[in-house]
Amino acid sequence: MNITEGAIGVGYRRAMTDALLDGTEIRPDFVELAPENWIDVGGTWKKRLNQVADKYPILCHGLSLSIGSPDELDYDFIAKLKAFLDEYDVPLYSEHLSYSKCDNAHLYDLLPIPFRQDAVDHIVNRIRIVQDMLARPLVLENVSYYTPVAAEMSEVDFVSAIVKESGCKLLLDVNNVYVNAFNHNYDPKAYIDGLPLDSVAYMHMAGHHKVQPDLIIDTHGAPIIDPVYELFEYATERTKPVPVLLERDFNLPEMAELNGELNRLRDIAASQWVNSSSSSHAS
Amino acid sequence: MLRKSTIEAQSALSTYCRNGIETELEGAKLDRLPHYRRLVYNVVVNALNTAYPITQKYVTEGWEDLQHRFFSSHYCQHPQIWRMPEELIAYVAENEAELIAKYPALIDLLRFEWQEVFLFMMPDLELPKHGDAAPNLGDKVVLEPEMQLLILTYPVHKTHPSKLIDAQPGQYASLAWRERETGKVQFMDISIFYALFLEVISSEELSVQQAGAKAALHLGLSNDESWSSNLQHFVNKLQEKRLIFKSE
Repeated sequence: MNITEGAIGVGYRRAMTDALLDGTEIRPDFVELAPENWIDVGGTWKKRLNQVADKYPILCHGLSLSIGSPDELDYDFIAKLKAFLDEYDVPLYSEHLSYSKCDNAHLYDLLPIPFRQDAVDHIVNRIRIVQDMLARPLVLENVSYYTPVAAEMSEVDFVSAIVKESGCKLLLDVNNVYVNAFNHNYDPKAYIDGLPLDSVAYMHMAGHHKVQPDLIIDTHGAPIIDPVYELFEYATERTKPVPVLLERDFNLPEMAELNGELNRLRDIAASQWVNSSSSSHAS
Repeated sequence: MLRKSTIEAQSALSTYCRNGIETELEGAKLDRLPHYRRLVYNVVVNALNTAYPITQKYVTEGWEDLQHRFFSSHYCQHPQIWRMPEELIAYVAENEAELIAKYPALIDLLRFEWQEVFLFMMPDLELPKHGDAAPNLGDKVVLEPEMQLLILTYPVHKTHPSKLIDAQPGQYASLAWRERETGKVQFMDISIFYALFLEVISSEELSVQQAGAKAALHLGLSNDESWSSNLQHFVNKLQEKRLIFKSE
């Protein structure tokens, strides 16, 4: 299924199902879901997902691929993933540039990869394998992180090297740029400028929570704050039109409030992209 | 190929997230590592608490410690978090003799609660082709595939968790299934004879009567007339709930 460039979507939570099907209070252009939460699911939730998929294009954002893990890729899981992506005609599958499995144990959350050249080489090789198996490009997200681990290069160099050397696409998570810039004292705009922006295929926006004066946790549990909207505007000035997602995983507000965030994103995207051609926005 | 030091750094962070024991980690801001442990562990604990709400009430002392030991020492294998809690059952059976001695119904309760989660979420299974008429004792039958049987030592399926500590061991059976129309999981307390009958009929191509005879023989039941009429009644009950069908 094709999805319009500049489309604005929302992360699908099961509690949103009725509102999404009704389409009165909230009306995204697409919904995004984690395939891990839906693969091999039947019964009530399979029926509900099918109803949602009949009404909205589905994009997928994975959790368990663990592209940066020292462990071997889980080929059985990737085969199941492909079947799911094919079943729902998913035009874009993204994952996290992180690892969530190590020492043969799943951790079910995203850990930061050491920013090192050997990790770049390792991940580039794995991206190619995954792309071949899935028969579609992999779109990788710059993740939020709270401490570097055994780093030998900068985050932006690490992300850029992986994207350039593998040919994968980039999911630019604007909130993560803001969170990381705050947590690690760098300029978020300079970080964005340092990325291979021609490779951006998708953007994420979200809220976060400041837990200490010098630390923000990427919770997806609050509204997007103005500085992140401003950073989004900065990013859209430098990228071609791509789908944009609002992530809200916790503390779900009234759907009308969420729709207000979608509309604000839609306005910014439209102001930058509506009259543009892709070539005019290439960085 | 990853360098040894890269693998060691990744392993050290991962191990810390699993066991919470402070560790040296090259280039890391040590005051921020606890956030990773907290975030990872919360996800796991939430998944276990969601899957096992009754077990939490039964294990009044030691549930949190059990979760910690499980995640510290067990290597979670399933890439889907909603499937991970199933791994707790085997972990407890193999490693938690002391806790089982204190809470003897623990394994049964975990199995019972997981069965509900799994039946609610499991992939859709196609109903086999079947006839329309109600099955009689001489008929071969097919069973609803979205149905599972549990043989239990403790009556966890019909006892409040607060009373379970006093429950006596015995032989109990619970039949659970997912309703096709509603998707809801339903339960039925059944006798061991009926449980054995269902095991036989699902594994061998026998008539209701033949499967009943095999189950009766296994249990040493000799009064053929008594179990036959009861079995027909049980089959009628299953048929009303659309759990058993006459073969084509």
